[in-house]
Amino acid sequence: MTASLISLLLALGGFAALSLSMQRHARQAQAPGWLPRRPVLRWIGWGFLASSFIRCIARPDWRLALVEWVGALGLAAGIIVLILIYRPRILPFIPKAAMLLALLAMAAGRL
Amino acid sequence: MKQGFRQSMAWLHGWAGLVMGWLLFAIAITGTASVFRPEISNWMRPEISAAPDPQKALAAAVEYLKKAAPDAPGWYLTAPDDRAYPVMVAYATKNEKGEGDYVQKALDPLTGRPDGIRDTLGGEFFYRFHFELQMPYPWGRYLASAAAMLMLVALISGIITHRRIFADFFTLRPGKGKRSWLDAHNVMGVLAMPFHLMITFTGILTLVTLTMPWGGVANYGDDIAAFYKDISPGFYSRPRAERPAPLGDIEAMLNDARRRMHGGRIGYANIDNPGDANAVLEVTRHDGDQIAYAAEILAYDGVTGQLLSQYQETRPARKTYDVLYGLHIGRFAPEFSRWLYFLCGLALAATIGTGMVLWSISRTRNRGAGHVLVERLTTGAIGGMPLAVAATFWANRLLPDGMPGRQGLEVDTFFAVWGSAILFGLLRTGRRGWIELMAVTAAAWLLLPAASALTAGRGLLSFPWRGNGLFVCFDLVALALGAIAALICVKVMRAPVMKAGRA
Repeated sequence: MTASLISLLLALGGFAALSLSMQRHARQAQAPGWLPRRPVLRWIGWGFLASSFIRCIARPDWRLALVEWVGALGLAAGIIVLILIYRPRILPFIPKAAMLLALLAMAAGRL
Repeated sequence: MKQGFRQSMAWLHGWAGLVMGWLLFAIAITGTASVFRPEISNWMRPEISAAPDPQKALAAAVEYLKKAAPDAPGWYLTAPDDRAYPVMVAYATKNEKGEGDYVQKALDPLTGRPDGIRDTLGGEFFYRFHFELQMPYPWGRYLASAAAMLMLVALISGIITHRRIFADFFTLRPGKGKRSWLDAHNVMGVLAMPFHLMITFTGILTLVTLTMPWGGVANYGDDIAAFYKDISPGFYSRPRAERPAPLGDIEAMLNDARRRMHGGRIGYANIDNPGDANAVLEVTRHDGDQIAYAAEILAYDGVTGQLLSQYQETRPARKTYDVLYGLHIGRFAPEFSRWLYFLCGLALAATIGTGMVLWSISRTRNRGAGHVLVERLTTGAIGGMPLAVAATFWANRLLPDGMPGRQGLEVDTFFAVWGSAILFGLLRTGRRGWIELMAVTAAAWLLLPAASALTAGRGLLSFPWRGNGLFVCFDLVALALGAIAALICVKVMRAPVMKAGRA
């Protein structure tokens, strides 16, 4: 369950970064100045997605995890769509928060 | 040239989607419900609770069958597990008129008896409807296959038509009439696209021996039995010896089977020729143990308990099929994945539903009788489906126990409500029809937990929750679905009237 949660969080961070790398959504989120430039954001987004994928298939039950990951990607992207409609201004904070929570979950899983 | 190709694909997308759209929506909804088939069955039989030991429960059920169906040629048992509480048994019998009949019963896993359990099909009804459409064999399956093939056509032509998949990946602009419907249709179609393609393709495959029998026919001719024997060589069959002999210790055989499957769970236990010296016990491994469906089978001599054969599927072609079949039914899926299957299924239903609405609101000019008919059919056939599902659950709680033909009446309720909704949608003009239908649907789902608490006493409104987690969860889902219906109702009420030619 922890592994699923970490994968989902990383996917969420990835899609948040990817959406911010698009001009239309960056405007919607009123992207603050401290955000990296858009091409960098795109790399960050793909990095997040790649790490989500790796976290997922590094499990002993990777076959099941792969199926789950595809579904989790859809769920994460759907959450970003909802955030863009109802709370666009929290979007710039999602990648950081997702990374933090994923690290916390990882640490909790080790205990 | 490219423009022409896209346009023809858009045309194909619209019509392929329309022809079977109403049916596909029903198939998607019942398929989504089937993700939680065991849980729905448990909810619909609130009299029983989980069994601590599946092997003991199966043995108790066999004791019951010895008295209830001693002359049946075979007994087919489905083991209880942490999801499904009862032991499901089936056997062939003869009714009063001497005709062949097939009996299916849920048995209490603790006592091995059917007493006091309400007569219901449970989640089995949605599962069967999903691919048989309540039609006689094989027509329902043919129709479901045809619908799934059109779905695949609609999906692929839809992907080609939608030229801004990545640019519009996150785009949903609410409150903009047709634009919003199109956004919603696209977002739900694109985000769960891998699921939509997988579920449609594997869905076609589950019925492929029926729809494309030529490979089998070419190689086996009329000898269908040999064909099935080669497909599933794990099943062991032998004729009756016509000498009576009592069954051996079933529980010991089942425990032995678990050891031989390295602790794998038991899924099905079939007993052929019970009471005969040539009785055979066949144990099939639980579908939930791996993605592939039914991949390991053991056969025991039912009298002596000796192992006759053990078969594990290793042939690549068959294994591929089993994996694809297993992917479709998702019984392997652990809890989180199961919810993802459920959500993706809802997304598919919503994609179909929004697509049907879009078909109508894209054709606001020069509307003929056909356009009006499509629009009004959509109201009832799509808007009425969630209400029909809720009505089935209401019937399960309200119909008195021991009523003759009770399980059939639950099914009748489903069709009566769906049919009435379609009729209502045809008579009421589009917008008012939606508002009223959604209001009734919201009430039906929101009040279901209360009705369930009063009649069955398990769920959100009854304490303690311990041991009733499933019932609490069911109530929460019912409330969520009710809330969605209420939201749609309010949104439609507030939406600006769409004028002809706009958008």
